[in-house]
Amino acid sequence: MADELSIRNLHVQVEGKEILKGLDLIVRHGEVHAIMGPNGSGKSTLANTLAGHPKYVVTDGEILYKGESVLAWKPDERARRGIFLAFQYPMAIPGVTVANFLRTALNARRKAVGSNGAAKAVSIPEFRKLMLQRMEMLKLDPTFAARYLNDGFSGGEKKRVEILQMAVLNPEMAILDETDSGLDIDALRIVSEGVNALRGPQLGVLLITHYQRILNYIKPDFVHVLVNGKFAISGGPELALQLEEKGYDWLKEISPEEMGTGK
Amino acid sequence: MVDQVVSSKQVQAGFSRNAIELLSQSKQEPEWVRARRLEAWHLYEETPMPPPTDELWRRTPLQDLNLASVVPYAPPLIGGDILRALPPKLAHAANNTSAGGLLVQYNSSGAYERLADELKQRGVIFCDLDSAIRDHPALVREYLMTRAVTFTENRYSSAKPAIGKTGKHEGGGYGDTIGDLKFTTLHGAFFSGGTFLYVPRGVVVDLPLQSLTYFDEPNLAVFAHSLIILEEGASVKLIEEYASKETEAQRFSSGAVELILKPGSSLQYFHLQDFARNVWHFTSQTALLERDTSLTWLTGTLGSQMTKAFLDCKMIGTGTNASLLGFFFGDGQQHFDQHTFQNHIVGHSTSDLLYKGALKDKAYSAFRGLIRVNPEAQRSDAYQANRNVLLSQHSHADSIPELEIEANDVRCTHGATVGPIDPDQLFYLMARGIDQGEAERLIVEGFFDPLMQKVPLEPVRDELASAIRAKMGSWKSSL
Repeated sequence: MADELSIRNLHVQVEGKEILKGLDLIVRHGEVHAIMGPNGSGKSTLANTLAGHPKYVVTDGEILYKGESVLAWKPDERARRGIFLAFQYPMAIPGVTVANFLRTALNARRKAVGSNGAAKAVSIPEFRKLMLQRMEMLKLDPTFAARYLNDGFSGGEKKRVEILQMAVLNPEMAILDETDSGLDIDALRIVSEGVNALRGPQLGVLLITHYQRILNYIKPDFVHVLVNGKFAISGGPELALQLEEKGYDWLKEISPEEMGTGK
Repeated sequence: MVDQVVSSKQVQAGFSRNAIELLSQSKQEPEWVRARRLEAWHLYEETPMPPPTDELWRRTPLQDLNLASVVPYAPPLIGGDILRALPPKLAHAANNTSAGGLLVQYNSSGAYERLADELKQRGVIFCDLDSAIRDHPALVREYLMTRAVTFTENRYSSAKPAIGKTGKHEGGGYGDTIGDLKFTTLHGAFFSGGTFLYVPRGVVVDLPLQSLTYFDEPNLAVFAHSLIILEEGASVKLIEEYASKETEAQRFSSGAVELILKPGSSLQYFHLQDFARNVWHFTSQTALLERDTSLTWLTGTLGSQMTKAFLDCKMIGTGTNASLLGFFFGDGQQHFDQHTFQNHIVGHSTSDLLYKGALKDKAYSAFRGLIRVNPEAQRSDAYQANRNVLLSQHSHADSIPELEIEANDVRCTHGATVGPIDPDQLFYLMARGIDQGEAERLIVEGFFDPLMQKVPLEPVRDELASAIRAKMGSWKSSL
């Protein structure tokens, strides 16, 4: 069974409207794929569909993770199996502290990873050590642990806390949905360094972004451009620079034969 | 304790003048108490049971309330250690050294009292009401049901809210409502046990005080009365918890709470009710705020079959600041019907209300929040918010803000929400591997958490958290 996420001919509707119109993509562990594209091209739809948001309906095609279809799995099962979505707009959960939430999530994940499903709950001291170490990495003040999740956080704080969750939960396939949006240059660097620290042969990354900027920090292995629900072109890191220069408009004129089909 | 042993055989079911005489006799009460009970009984008999057409009762029909079968009074506990007999959910109090004092009411009478010596020396009085009548008659006589919760005045018949939930003039007000009079008169006739707290001028009590009311006697009606008096500049926190044993027969509770704050005093009062599911619970609570006082007033409603609550925050002095907080969680067929009254009688005062509820199964909640600002009460700030989370398709919440603003220089807001758990919050938590039931539990616990954090004793907070967890636990979402 390959350690990969495989998307085949994916068609997705939101509230009856087709947004994704046949995507093919394979992301292997160890690889970083950037998905770029103009607003409204379907980038966030792809992210939410992979995570299992009930509003996004797969009407055709398949999503396989390590050879198994994820389509029947609820969002929590996908997450426990190692798929992680860093949200573009993280929800505030008032009354639930970052620490309480993270420990609950980590225990859920460990339970699934543990052999024969045997529960191996993380002890509180062990958890605190892990969390504080990861917070330091992301330059988050330790007092964040006792704050209510995303409640009153600035845009930059929310994004750092998303990557904190990723760093604690240790996923195998991370989808970062416009993690760079709303970040100033310092915050962008911190978040990128956090992601880079987690890169490795056990982690595949799908980096969704509107701008090329974050790719200066997180070097992708592949770049795909999504236009109007389809990949218009795929290539290496140099494609991102080309887009920076030329924008997205020229892609709309590419003939179908020239279009990439992912990998 | 002043009680003498009364054999159970002497206490007949049902309410009557004779029952009052027996009760008063057994307590060896002074004549003025007996006379006051009989006056209340007289008014009770003159007051009809609120009909379903009564504006303040139409959401809580009383035809299933059976007052004939309940016993108005139970003999006091003789010997035995009440602290060992407490049910698990109150057991935390027995060994809690972080409270400055503890009272236990068992069935109809006080059964335990403890108060730190240092507080006794500074003149703090913390005892059951029967003892207070015996030992501090002048204080009790002056305040007991004379100013806050009275049984001679119908405070709701004069209230005419001008704006209903539609924002339009509803007209007619409450009409000929009986208000809470039927139950305050009955309470005035049969009150027994209860909490008496007196904090002298300038005394600041740091450690919270705790009072428990527990009953297990079959068919018993309990009439717990709390009389809290803070003299000028005094400050105290009091947590009251109510529980009862689960039994078959319907039971009845009619409580009253009087909070009297003299100028410059500060009170945090927590009223946490977790009665068994066969109890019909009526409670009338009034706070009387003189100038420059500060009140935090939190009610928690988790238990009972039916709770009908009237809370009246009377701001009679300027510079007062009242925070009215409430949480409730209904399951099964629980029915909660709560009335709050932010009563700005003079100006330059602030009241801020937040009531939060969760409902599952077939539970029902009505929240009716009246803000009244007198013509003289300029510069009043009054805020009101009621948030309801529905956890099942068959649960229901009515939220009715009512405004009666007669002054023109006021700030006033109100807001109400009723709806299910936010699906995007749910998705966010599930996308981290947390299953739906656990995610819903986290969200609901989080919904209540800011209110729980106000409770100043950790063991009580823990007990509330586990009660809420237990309510969530038995439930599988239909979402």
